Amino acid sequence: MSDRITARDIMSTAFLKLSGATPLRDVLPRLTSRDGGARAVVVEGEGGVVLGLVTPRLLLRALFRDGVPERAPDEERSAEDRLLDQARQRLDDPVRTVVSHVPLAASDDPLVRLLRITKDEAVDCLLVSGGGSVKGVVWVADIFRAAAALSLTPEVSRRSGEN
Amino acid sequence: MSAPLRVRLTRELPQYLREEARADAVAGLTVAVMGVPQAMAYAIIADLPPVYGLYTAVISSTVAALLGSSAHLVTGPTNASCMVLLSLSAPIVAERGGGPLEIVLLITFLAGLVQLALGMLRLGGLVRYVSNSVMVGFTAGAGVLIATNQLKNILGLDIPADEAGRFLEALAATARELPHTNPRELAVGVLTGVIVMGAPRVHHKIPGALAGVVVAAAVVWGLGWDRVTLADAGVHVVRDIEPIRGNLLEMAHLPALLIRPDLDLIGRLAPGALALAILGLIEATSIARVVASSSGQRLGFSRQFAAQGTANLVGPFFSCFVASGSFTRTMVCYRSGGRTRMAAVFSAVWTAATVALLAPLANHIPRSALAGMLIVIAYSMIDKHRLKLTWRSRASSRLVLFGTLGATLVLPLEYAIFVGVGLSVLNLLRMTGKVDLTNLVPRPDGGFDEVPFNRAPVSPVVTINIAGDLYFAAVEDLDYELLRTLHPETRVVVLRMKRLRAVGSSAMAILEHFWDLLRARGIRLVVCGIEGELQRVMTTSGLRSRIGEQNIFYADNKLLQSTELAQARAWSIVNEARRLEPGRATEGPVTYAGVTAGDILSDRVIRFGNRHQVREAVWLLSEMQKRLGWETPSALFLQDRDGKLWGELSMRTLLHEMNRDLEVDPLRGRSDAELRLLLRRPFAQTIDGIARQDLCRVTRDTRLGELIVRAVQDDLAIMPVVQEDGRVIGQIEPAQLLRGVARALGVEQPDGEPGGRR
Repeated sequence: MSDRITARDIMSTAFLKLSGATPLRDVLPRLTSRDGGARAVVVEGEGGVVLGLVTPRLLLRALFRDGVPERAPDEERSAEDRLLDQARQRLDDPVRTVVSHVPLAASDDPLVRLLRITKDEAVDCLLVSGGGSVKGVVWVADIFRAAAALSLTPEVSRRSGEN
Repeated sequence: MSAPLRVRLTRELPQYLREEARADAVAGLTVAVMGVPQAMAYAIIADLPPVYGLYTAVISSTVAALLGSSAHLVTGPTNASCMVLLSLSAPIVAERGGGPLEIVLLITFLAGLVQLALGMLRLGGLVRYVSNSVMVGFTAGAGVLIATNQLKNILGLDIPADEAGRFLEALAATARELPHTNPRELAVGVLTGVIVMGAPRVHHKIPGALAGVVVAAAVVWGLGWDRVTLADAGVHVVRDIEPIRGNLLEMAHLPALLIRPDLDLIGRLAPGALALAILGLIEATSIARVVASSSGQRLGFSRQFAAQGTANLVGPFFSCFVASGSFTRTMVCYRSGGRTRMAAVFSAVWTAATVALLAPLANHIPRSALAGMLIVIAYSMIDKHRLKLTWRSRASSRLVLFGTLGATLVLPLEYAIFVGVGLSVLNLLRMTGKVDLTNLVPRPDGGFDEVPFNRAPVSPVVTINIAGDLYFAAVEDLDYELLRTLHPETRVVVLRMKRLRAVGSSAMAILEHFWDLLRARGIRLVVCGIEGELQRVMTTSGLRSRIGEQNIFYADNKLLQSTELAQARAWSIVNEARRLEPGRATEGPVTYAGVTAGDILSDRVIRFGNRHQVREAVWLLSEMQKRLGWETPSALFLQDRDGKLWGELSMRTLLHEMNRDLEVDPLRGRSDAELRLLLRRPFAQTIDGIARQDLCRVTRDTRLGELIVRAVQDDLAIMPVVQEDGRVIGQIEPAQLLRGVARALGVEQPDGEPGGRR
């Protein structure tokens, strides 16, 4: 058995799945509940195909992507009201319209590969797939914790380069 | 000896011998151990016998150290300047015949003259205007050239120097001669390269270069490969090029081309010598600056210029070629505990002792071993990290760096330096021609915060601070930038012009144009900070009367007084317009619940000092994660001694720093033990160098709309909530912000359904 840390060791297997047709009105409270809330929602299409992921950050960006709407000629409301009004109009959109691509990792991918992915792509998490379905989610925080645990263990040897 | 000097020597010498001489001697020895093989190899780059590299490391190092201002700079042969020497001398040698030495000595003398003149004229500060990108690009290009150039030596091919000195020609000649490769030379070169790279990995105190050439020389001598037989061509050793005889007096030399000057030749070499002088000065001063920033020493650039120049003027009379500051030897000198300029002098003494005592052994060093070492050095000259960073940065920086790099590969090297310096200066001119616009946001205490426009709160009054040189080159930018500051909410624009350094008629035309644009949009203009000269130009252009005297506020001795008055005027315009808007009171606006930062913030924040090491920050954040799980904040808030928020260090930033070297090293086959070493590399650095300081700070009263705009506009992962005294009291992450949105929109958690993870 390998002594290397893998995605399987650090992924979390408890995550929420929703259909791509779910309106944002129903997704929003699930991501914001005070009793924990979901850190992310895995969105599935027809036949259980994974379409991607929605996190609070992604949903926020999707709801307010256009910034403050222009003031209509006879408009009096504040910028904040116009901003929220625009978001409210989007609440009926299906969640599949706001999902974001998330990099995939295999459950036996070593930590070094997960580090490489987070270095190359500015994502909050990775989906761990296996057998055609999502097995878990690895968050950047999980990768950080594993990297910290590995690097903070006592030093084995010392190397330095020479130019 | 003059009396003051005698007194000083009598007083200071015993103190130096007692307190610092030992440290300098040890540092000098460490530098010499590393520098001797380098000096021999760099001479090979310039197509000179290795012994001249040693002479340069002895004489030029001593002269520059005694006269210079840096306590740690080690002067001597350097790879880039040797490559330029080859580029300059090879065509002349091919044309006139004979060896390159006299040509090289003449070039060295001319470069020394230029450097001394720049030092005497106190023009040392000029190098500040040449960007570091030029050196990174030039050094990378020189590295490629050195590697290409040394292929002939590592393969044992016979290629003339004038062909080997240019990139494409060297590649073509190497390909043409490849069938004549000497396998023994190749084996020795590869062996040396492997040892140079591998020895420090076995133990960091093993000098790779020295170990490489010693082992290679022993192998060649032991196998008798340095002897030519009927069956095999031998391996060239130093003795075959020009033996090192160990008699230091042999270095004394009267350069023939200085005794009998050839003015035509001097004219041809002058531009190249100028380029070499500039290169040497940039190298020496930038290296000295890096060390001085750590040691705290204050440098005199002009004195350093004069010292480098004198070393190169004196050098040719001792068979020395162009010397400059060596980065690796300087850093070794500093890190080995060198305390004064005498450390470099000691390194010269140790090098001279090596020449005198170990010459018979040095003669057995194979040329291909030096070539193998040079190829490893050439690889390290390409700063991959910096190249990648620059590639991702602004187009102008990319142009300077990669323009210089490209020029080194296609042009003679001396011209490549001019191309780099030219691009750097052009870039500088472009930058100074840019007008800087910022938004002044009033603080509750009566002052102003100067913030970028994308971080300014939405307000009917936009106060724009214009700073910079407003001349013709900046006009186009000004027009564009001013228009970008407008927002649908904007009702009045206040222009603060106090920091404007010059105003031309073209710029006034643009201000008029802007006034027209604002008027067309129903936006009013108020100007402040108007100085006497600007007042005259505005009067003559007629702009003053069009804006209206009540909307113009002149500069005052009290800081920002005219700005405060202009703001008051702007708000009075806004309030008046609101009062006059028809039906305002009767048509009640539809508003959402007034959510503020105080309603949604999380008071679970991790405060940390700003002078800790990366290791401590990683430890703290990971420990908090163990205790709090996924509720852990994703960043540390760094505070200064007064407890005020100083900056933010996110988990992602820490991970990025730990990740930094991953791409340099191959991933496959890495064990966790090897990965651990990579991740630990940034641990010793302090976090103040990587923390983010341009934070989007909000207060308890900041409204939801503003929080959303700021978070989405800049894709912020975290916003610190601060109180009036600057201390952080909470934070807002996207989940909390979304919670505020849900509350404002009335979208509640469905009854009876847990929202938690499943």
